[in-house]
Amino acid sequence: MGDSTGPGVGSPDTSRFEVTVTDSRRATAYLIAPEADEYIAIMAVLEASITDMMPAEIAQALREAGTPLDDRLVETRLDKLRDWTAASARTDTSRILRHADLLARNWRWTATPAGRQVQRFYSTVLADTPAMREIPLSSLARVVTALEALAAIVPAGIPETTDVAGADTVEHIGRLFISHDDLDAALVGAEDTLATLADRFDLGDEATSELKQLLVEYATRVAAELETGSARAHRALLTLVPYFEALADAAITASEARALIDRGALAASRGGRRSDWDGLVAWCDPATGRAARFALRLVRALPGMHANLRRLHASSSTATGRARALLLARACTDRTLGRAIFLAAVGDHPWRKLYDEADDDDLPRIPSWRDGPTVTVPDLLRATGRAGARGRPPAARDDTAARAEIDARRRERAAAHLDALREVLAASPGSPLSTAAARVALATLMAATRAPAGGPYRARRSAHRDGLACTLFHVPGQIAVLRAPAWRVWLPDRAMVFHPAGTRASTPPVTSPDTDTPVIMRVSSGGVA
Amino acid sequence: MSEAQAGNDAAEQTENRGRRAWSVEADAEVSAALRTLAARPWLVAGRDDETIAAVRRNLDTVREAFARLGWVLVVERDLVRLRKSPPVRRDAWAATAPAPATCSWFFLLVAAAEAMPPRVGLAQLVTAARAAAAEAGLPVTTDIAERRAIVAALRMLDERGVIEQMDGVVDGFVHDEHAPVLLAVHHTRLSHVIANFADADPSADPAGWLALVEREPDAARRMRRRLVDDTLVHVADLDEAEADWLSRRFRGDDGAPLAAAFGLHAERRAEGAAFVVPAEAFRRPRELGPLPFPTPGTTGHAALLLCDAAAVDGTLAADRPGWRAIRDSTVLALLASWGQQFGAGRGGWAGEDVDNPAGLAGKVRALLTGLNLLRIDDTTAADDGESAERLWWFSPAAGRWRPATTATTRGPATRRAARDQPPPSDALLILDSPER
Repeated sequence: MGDSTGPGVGSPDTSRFEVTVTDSRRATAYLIAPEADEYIAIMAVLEASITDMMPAEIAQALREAGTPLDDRLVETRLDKLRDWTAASARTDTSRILRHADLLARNWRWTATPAGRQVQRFYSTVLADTPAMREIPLSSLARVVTALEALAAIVPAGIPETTDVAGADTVEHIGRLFISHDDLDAALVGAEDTLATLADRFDLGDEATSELKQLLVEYATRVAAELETGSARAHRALLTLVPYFEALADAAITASEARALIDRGALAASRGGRRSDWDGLVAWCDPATGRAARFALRLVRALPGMHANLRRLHASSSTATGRARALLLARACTDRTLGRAIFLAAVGDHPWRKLYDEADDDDLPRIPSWRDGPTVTVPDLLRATGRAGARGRPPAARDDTAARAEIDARRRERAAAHLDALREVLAASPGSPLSTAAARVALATLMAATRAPAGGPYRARRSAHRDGLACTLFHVPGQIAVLRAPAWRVWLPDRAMVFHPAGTRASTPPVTSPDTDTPVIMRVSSGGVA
Repeated sequence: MSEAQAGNDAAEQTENRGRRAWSVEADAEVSAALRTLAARPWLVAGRDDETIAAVRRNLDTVREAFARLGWVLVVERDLVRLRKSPPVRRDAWAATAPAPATCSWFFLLVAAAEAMPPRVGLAQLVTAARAAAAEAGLPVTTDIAERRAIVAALRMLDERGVIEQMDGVVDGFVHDEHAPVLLAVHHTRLSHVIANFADADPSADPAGWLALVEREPDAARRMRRRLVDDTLVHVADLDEAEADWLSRRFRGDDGAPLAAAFGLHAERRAEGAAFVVPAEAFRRPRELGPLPFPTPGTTGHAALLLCDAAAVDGTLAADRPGWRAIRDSTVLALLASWGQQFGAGRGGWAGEDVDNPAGLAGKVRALLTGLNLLRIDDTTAADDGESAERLWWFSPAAGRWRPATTATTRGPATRRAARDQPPPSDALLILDSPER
């Protein structure tokens, strides 16, 4: 939809201002209209008035505020404000005394709710530099107190059947969300202002003092308080999680507009929906919540603040970094001492070192440099001034044969290992194994004995190595045996099962719970146990 | 268990608790970090992350070592900066410092950058720096020399991570004042640029200001700084308190632990002392500072040969024990002779140095003077009735690289001559002979 303003009465308008949107954004149009100053002045009067006003009363108020406008021009502006949904008019029935009065514009004007919000947004956010808002720690305290009180109120029991509605509960819920709104808005504002100040390096003394105050107050008190308070609130909320639905219902039940809320005519205030409570949990999260993010932003802003504070600290004319730099810039132009001044001021010259020590640890006396131990200089360096031979380096040696031999050995070892695995898996428990197979089995067995027990009701320890798994079961009275040609291993009170890695051994009929005590193992070799 | 035994066990446990756990790896890491910071006092995140992590792991030990020198270690979130005292030999370090104009624009850019936003165009920064120059009463010429000085100063700031080049090429500013270059200004690092300042006007009284900044009343701290920061110390240069420290505490409770902390070798000789970097403790010559020696190359080779020549033919003096002098003309003759001997170009010396022995002499002089191995005496060498001439006095420490046995040096030209014209006896240079 197109719209345009025609020329006003008393103040000819030559420009055309198009408002093409048709939704609630029309309420903001007066802020950017060509005659925005006049619109804003009128809206300020309407927003400040507690009653509806006649155009003449508005014009009078404007004159008193220092913005004189003609009555007819005020009416024209009011019409446009009504078109943009920022103001509304209603007929003043008390002034209709004749029939002709019906046709006259006996209207009383007021700002619409949207218009009031837009005007407040303009006056508090857009019109002036946002003022640094104090972090309301009292709100945080009220949030924590309300949550902890709620956590104490809810009884232990089955949440679904618990009735938590009560006068105290509703009061705490109301106090909780009002305080939280207050705290959240303050934190958002403080965060933004903080970031802005930290990024500005052209601050004057006054602004830097403000920054210093911020640093001291926020870093030492607010962040710590927020962290502690949000952690306490989060703990209380975790206790209340099962009761979120019940608490939301309680908040709606206690509302005087419950019928309207149930019919959908009004939205419940905060706390009347489950999502409000979930959002509160996220807000108070010690790791990702608003308080934690605020602390993080504070930490990130600290280096910039430090730089500014250093400038504030050295605020006398010769001690600021800039003043010193200018003095040094002038001094460095000195042809004899300029370079020395630069090096002395900057203090970052690299050292100069001799290298390679002489063998002088056990000298009987202190020799002179020319009579003492020498430091070797490579012959080539002394003879030619070169560190090494010139030219391209030789090509790498051809090691194809060595690689092939190593690959063959690797394949051979893999084949032998596979054979050993097959032998172990095919052998029955306690039957003799070849030396290679027994070594593979022993390696896996040792890994299994070092594995932790499976808990108080489980009797197995299991581990795998190189494709073979071994599971030990705790079976009182049974002895597991691993037999090799030259040695044997006994495990008292154990049953031992070898199986392919990635599979699970079936449990013997009789087992008992295992503990984390070391597995007893007996080894015999050459007839000695 | 008897009471005495129980008491001994308790005492042993108490002692064990108080003893610091010793770790070779930890000490080596601390030493490497200390050496790195001594060579590069600015460590910036994104460029020196490994070293910064090592410093953070051993922060207390590193700080303690630098505190003995009176140096402050600044550890920020993305910066580690060592604030050193002024160089111990002012003239030697100043000889290799940037030009005065570059130094001046360095500070003007620092002054201008203070009020700049974190991201700024080069032209905007330079405009602010020129305004700062006007404020400081310095002339602004906008000629190419000034632009070169500005670019050099920006590079110095970029090396320190203070004003970093984000987009574009700073060098383009030399020919185009409006070169599209985006710079990042790190204000927190900017505040650490000026490490030492005295409450006086350095432009009104430069010498007095330097004296104030360089002043260090503690002799022991002066000695520690000299030994850690410089190549070597000559006894003849020390005052009474410093000489006393060198004789009593160099290998004792002060010098040796300090050298050990940095992983350096304490080299004590009759004429002086040095903290020397062991060969295995560095990987690249630049870790030794801007003047490593001995190194390959024409200047390094000529310097090494001159040290050897001084050991053979140098003149002794009673008032300078251990020092050997060579006349200026002899130095030029030797350099010219060696230039012809080794030849110019591939396999030999640099062509410009062979053609210009005087220029090569200047480079060798700068190298050895910077290393505290050479001093030029402008007084006359008229003892033998000859005309006035400068003398090159070689430090006794130049003898630490003397060849163990008689050696010969042959250049490519010599080798070619040897093939064509035997015998080559005139091309041999005897480098080692009984000292006089």
